[in-house]
Amino acid sequence: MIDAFEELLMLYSDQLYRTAFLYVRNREDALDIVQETSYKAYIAIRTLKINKYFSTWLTKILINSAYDFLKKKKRESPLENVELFISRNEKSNIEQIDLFIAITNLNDNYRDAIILFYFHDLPIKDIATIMDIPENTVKTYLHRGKQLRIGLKGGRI
Amino acid sequence: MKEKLLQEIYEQIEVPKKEVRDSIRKGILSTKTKNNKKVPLIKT
Repeated sequence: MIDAFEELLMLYSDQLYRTAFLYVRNREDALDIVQETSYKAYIAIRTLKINKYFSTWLTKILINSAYDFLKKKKRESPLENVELFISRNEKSNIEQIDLFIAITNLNDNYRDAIILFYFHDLPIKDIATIMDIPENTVKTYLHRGKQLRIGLKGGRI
Repeated sequence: MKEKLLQEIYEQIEVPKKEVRDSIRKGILSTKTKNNKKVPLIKT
């Protein structure tokens, strides 16, 4: 059972780590969140009634774990970590750096909606389920997120 | 993915494959204890 579940989670490992990183902006904390998510998911797997929603369900656990973590830590991750991430990637350009920092600095609701819509490629309906809000509210967050231009000159999303 | 720029940013977050697998394994194994931070990794 453990091996099978581990292999199942490994299918989502990149997505889990990258999403966690967007919230905490450093490697060690992102790994802690992946661990916590795996723990909670394994304990609660029997509560998942419809298998096709596994990814949505897992993402919800991850985001909740990220917020729990940030609440406990009660401090912002320093931007140096973002710069470290960026410096490893020669392909990054100023526009991407600005956008990355802007996304990680967004208000929680906007950030959740944008991450789930643009990075996880989830439909509005699934995002509403994860965030426990009506679909129209998700649309509002996405629309306002675009309007805010999230600190990026010329707003690309 | 709906936006190329965002896709590139997301993919540029480097994933430490082994460490992520270890974290997943630690998380699952720690369900057998009360404190999930104290479970040593199983060496494979």
